[in-house]
Amino acid sequence: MLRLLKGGAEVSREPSVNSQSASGVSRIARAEDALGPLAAAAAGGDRDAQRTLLVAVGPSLLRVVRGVLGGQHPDVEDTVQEAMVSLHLALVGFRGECTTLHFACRIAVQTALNTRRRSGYRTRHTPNAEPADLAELARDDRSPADAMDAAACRQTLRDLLGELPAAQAEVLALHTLLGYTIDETAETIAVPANTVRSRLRAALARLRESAQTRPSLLELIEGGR
Amino acid sequence: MSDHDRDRFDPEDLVARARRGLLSRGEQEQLAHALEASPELATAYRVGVEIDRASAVQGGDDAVIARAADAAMARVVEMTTHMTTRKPLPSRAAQGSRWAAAAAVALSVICASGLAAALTGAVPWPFRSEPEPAAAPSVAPATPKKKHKPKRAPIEAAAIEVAPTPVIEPPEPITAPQRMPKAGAGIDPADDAATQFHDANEARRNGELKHAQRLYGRLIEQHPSSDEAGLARVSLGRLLLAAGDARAAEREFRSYLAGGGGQLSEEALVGQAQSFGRLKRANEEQKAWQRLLASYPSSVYAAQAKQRLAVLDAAHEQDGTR
Repeated sequence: MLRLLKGGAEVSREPSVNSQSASGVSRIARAEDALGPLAAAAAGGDRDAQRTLLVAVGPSLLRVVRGVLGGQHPDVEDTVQEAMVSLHLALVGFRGECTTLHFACRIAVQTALNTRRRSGYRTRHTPNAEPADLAELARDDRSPADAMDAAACRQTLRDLLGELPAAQAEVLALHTLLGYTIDETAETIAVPANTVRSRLRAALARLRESAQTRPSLLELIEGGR
Repeated sequence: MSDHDRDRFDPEDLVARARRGLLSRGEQEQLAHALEASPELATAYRVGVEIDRASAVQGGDDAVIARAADAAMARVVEMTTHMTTRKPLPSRAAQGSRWAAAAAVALSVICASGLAAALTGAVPWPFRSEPEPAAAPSVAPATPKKKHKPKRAPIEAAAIEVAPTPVIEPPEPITAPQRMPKAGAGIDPADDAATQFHDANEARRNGELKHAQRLYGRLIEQHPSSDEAGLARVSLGRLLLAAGDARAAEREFRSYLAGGGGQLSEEALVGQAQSFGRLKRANEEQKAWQRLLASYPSSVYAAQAKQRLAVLDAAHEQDGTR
């Protein structure tokens, strides 16, 4: 198993990029799939490879799920588990159109968005529930006011993910939560870059609209430029 | 930095690269201009930075990941075991014909896609296992688990089990709401839809699958027009499909879709296709996969749908040449 992992670059929490082209001009290029051999072994039925793959992509899945649901959401661990099972079984249909990590993250995004939609019904009927971000505030080393604004910033994004059309929500999540570029997002969801661009810009316009309804949030955003 | 170089990145890509700390000095200037010019981009950048700050690694993450991975593996093993113990292999599978080869491929896809869909997104898979408390490093080789070893082959076996022998059955009429078994003691009929939905989900998560089925059924019966009832249909369909009652499962998915669908339409279509696959209703299964591809061309199930359609086409051709 170590050999499989060793075959590629170290697995990164962030999407990996190659910043140098042959001409010496820096640009983003598709990275080699460090997890490709492991994914192939896992798809072939190797149980050790399967578990190792899940553990290897686990930090990224956790990041996605926390980003969509909130760090203290009670369903975070459940949702990570759902995403892992889905990834495990979806490997059969994976043809390497994008990296294994991107494929895994896309599944995590969709799983988490579904969890968020489902839990929306619950939270709508329990408005007095403790905010999911409360514990996150305690960890923030900024002033309470700034931490509250930052939490509102994240919550605005999460709320919007539940309201946007699914295609826009997916693109916004990949770009904003995971920091994917246009090309990486296009590869991951197998649509043209221009489609990603237009979906993303529409989603960002909505995000901006949402932010404008909260003056303190707007101040935070404009102050951070 | 020349103007030529400045044209190389989308503004959104500059934001992405900035968050990774990859910008050159010139690109940083370019980003500053872009943020000034575009409030949308400024919002995306600020929100992204906040997300990066909030989603940093936390103490105990390794343990969370290890538990999730162990539980996920245990669930997969349980699912494959469940599917392989339902029927003996059909004798035709051993004949070595082209048909058998196609069937094996087809069914490996059915098993994988079925299980994948059952577990992706909308409805958590009902089989639960107690997570192991052990923590493991986040990128460490797996510790071989003896309990997994004897269960490695079931996917192939199950694949042959579901070999395509199309038996077309007329669709059953939709009668909403579906009558479900009566709820057990302890269920307060005065509960509203949201509470019942919450309770049913709790029961499912706790592995009380029969109880969860009853609660979903009661919710559908008592609050048929509620939002929760729609979601409950998909959840119930998944539970029924996992329990081997593909006919009842298909009814639930069909009812959900007939009601105009909603946020879980994609999952309902996948569930319906899988149900038809289990029932060996090839034509309807084909239509369900086609509908999924038409409605959700970039679905994570798209590759599996295409594979399954290819297998069904091959089976049709095979039938035509006999």
